[in-house]
Amino acid sequence: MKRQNVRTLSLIVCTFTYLLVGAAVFDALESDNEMSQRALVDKLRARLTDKYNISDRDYRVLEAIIVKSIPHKAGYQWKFSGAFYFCITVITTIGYGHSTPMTVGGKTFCMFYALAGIPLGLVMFQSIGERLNTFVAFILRHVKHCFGKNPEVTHMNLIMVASGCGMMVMASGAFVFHRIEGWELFDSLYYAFISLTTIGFGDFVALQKDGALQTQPQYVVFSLIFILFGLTVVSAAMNLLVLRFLTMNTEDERRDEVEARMAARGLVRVEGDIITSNSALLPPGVTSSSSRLTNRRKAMIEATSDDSDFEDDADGDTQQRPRSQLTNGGGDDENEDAASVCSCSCYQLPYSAGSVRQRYSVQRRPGPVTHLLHSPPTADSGVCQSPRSPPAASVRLATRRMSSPSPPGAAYMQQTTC
Amino acid sequence: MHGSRRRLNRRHRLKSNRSYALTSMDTVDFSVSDVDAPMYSGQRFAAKLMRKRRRAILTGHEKVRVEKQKFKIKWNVFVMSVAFLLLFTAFHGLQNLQTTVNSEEYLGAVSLSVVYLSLAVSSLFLPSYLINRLGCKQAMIVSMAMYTLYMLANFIPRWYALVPASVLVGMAGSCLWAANCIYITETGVRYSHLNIESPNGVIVRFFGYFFMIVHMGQVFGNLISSLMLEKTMHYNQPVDRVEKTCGHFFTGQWNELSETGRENLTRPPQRVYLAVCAIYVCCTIIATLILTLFLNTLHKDEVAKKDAPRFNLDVFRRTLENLRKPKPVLLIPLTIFNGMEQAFIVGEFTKAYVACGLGLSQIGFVMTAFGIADAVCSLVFGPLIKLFGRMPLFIFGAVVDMLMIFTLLVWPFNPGDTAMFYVIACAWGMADGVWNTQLNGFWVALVGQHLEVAFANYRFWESFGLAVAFLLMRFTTTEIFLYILLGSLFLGMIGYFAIEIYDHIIEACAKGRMICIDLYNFYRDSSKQNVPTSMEASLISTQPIQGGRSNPLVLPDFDVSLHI
Repeated sequence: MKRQNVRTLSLIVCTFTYLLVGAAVFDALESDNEMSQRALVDKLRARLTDKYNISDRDYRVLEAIIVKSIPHKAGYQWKFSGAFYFCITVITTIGYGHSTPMTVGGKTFCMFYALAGIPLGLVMFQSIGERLNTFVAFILRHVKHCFGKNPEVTHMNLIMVASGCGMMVMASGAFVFHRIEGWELFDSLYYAFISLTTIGFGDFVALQKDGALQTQPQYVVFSLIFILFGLTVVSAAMNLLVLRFLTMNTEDERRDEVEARMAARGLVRVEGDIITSNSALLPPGVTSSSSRLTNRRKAMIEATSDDSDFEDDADGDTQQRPRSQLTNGGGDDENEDAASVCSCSCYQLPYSAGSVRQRYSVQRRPGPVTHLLHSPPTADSGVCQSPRSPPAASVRLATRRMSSPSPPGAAYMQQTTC
Repeated sequence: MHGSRRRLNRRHRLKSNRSYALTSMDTVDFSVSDVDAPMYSGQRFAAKLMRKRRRAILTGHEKVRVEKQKFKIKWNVFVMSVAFLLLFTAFHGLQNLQTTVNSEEYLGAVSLSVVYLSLAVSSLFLPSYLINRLGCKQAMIVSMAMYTLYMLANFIPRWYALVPASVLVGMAGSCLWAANCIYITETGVRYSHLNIESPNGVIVRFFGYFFMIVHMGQVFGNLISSLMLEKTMHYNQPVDRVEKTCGHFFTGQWNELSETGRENLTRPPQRVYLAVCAIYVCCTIIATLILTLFLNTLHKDEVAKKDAPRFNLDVFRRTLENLRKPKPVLLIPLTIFNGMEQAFIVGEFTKAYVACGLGLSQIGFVMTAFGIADAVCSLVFGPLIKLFGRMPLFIFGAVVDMLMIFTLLVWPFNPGDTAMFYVIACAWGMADGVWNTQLNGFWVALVGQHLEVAFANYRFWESFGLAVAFLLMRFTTTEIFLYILLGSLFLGMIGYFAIEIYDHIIEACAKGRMICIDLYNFYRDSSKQNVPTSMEASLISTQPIQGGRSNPLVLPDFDVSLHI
């Protein structure tokens, strides 16, 4: 079985086990309390109905009215400041539920608003977080430099700093809420955590006391800034973690490919670079505009065509082909062997970019390089020894980027036809 | 993170590699090893270094002379900006009050409509004549004098005074902007020669500085009016209650208004209004004086003055020519919408929403928010087009405008929710900033070559939209006006999208036609073969045609063009 499948399965199993364990623990912790609460409510209810002699139905009406009046007691929820607060809970996906749209128009708009707003917010927080990380890395490097240590900032350092910042924000926010809202210190810490992880139960909601939304503008500004800034810091940490996991995933994929290639042949240690038949090397960074790509390729081939170190086996066909054809994008069959250019897509060894780039070299002569294509190794080089496409030129251009003029499929087609 | 750091490193490398080479030679050639640096940025960077070098080479007397001239040019641009700032402080301040204060028989709205109609029409032929005749500086001074006249006419708010003054001020406006454009372009070119730079960059920068200062006019003019009116008109705190007669319920009929609405919309005491007007008159007079005393005449004007002035309809002809091209025609609805939305915020929003709900004295404060948002967005969105491309910005503007129109339509008008007024004004200003900069740029891109014609086109249709909208205010209620605005926005955006996909449509049409012709040929041939003519003749006649026509279809033309 593939490694990815194994990982996914084990993750699913882990998550479900985690859920089951969590449910068991919550059950054990909370059920007693719930029972006693329920008993208390029932007792009070019986006492009330006795005392005021109200019918069961009236009592239910009273209950419903009280539930409905909770958001109204907090002041106007849909004046501009309240609406702004609501918008923030929507696009950050906190969703306290303290005030929800009631009209059909409001609900419809809310859906569309969230549809556009949630990705927008996510992207914004992530990119601010990324900037923040860069800034932190910059500062850390300088601090380390000042203390005369090795100015190398590791991933772990950044994660430490980011989570430290997050904790600081949470603690200070919790303290302020403790002072203003009058919650227990533990409760306000709980509130800050639930908010900044965007769980947002809504059991504690800031700005819902004494019409604070209308009467205390400074407090409103503080809470909104707390939510936004806290989310930024948290998403900076998230950014680091997500990067970690993502690279883990892609590294696996890469390793698979690497292994496949290693098995097929020796080494071509390049990092997304393009190799021409005569070992001239095109740098990475093939951009989306193919006109620039072709220009550059032309320049490269022109520049390197006169060095004749590797030309003994590259047959005349390759050299005599007029250069104008090279710019055709390499898409049609005619100049398949003209730009015998190949790219090792996504081949990246775990070296740092700087060290690899100086060392790209073709260890073996670029003879049959067919295995570098996205084709199964069935069309081995022996079959392809047709006079029309010599071995040195049997690989066509296939760049790593999406905008490569010749898609892998085309390369595959060509392979099988020869 | 990694990308930026790499770029930074490359930059350092480039700098250290190149700077010594540049001392000896003027041209830079790139070795092949450098291909991984994007060509254009590398070249631009090198060119920048080169210019710096060249500037450093200047010494002694020459250097002093160049520095002096550069300072003079900058001083002139600054003087002009300040003069325009004062002038538009006055004009915008008065314009925002116009529809509300002179609401009797819609005098204000109609007079503004006349202003913009006259501006649109006169911009087609008047500026070139006047500037030829008088020169840039004189033309600007004369125009500013006309503005002063208009301010003075506001002392007597009657038809016989305001309408002729409006006609004059419209003409003056067209001349003023044209002369200003020419002046900045000329000085920019001259400065670029002195400073060894590309003229385009300098002109854009000068315009940037100029508009940055001029946009402040919205702020100061509105603050003056609001502060003065608030002092005298006792501002009562808005009540937290839905007003059934203001906002989009507003009909313009005095007797349908509620008590508070009537009170809010009462004309300020004549004494106070005259004082505000007097301040504005002073502003324009000072602006005129500044221009007269401190601005240098263009060298080109003194040369041109010796020729006989001629009356040419060049701009007019070119504008008409553009009506024949499909793309500029498709852009016209959006440009008209741009004018209409400006008219809405200046004429209708101030009156039906701000004045009716909050009181006449608050117009200035709300419009200050509009002015600031407009100025900031005009500055920010100009460069953003390079980052995002045109489409996202246009969509942004359209979506913001659409949302705001819907908000204005459904908002149960409640003056207690004061923040709403400012938010709406800000959002409207942002959208306006997008339209102002992007439409201007788009006209230049579409009309091409002639900057003057592009600006004239844009100004013509924008003023036309303004004029139409001010005139419409007389005949519609606020709600209908909003619906019209929404309709014109949709129309404009459809036109815009049509421009963006125009080339694709044409291509598809051409392809379709090719296929049709092919099919037609095929059928004709087959039918011909049925007709018993001589075998050889049919072969000779059909074969080459078929071959020639069908070839383009076989070739992968389309794919190649997509890549390039």
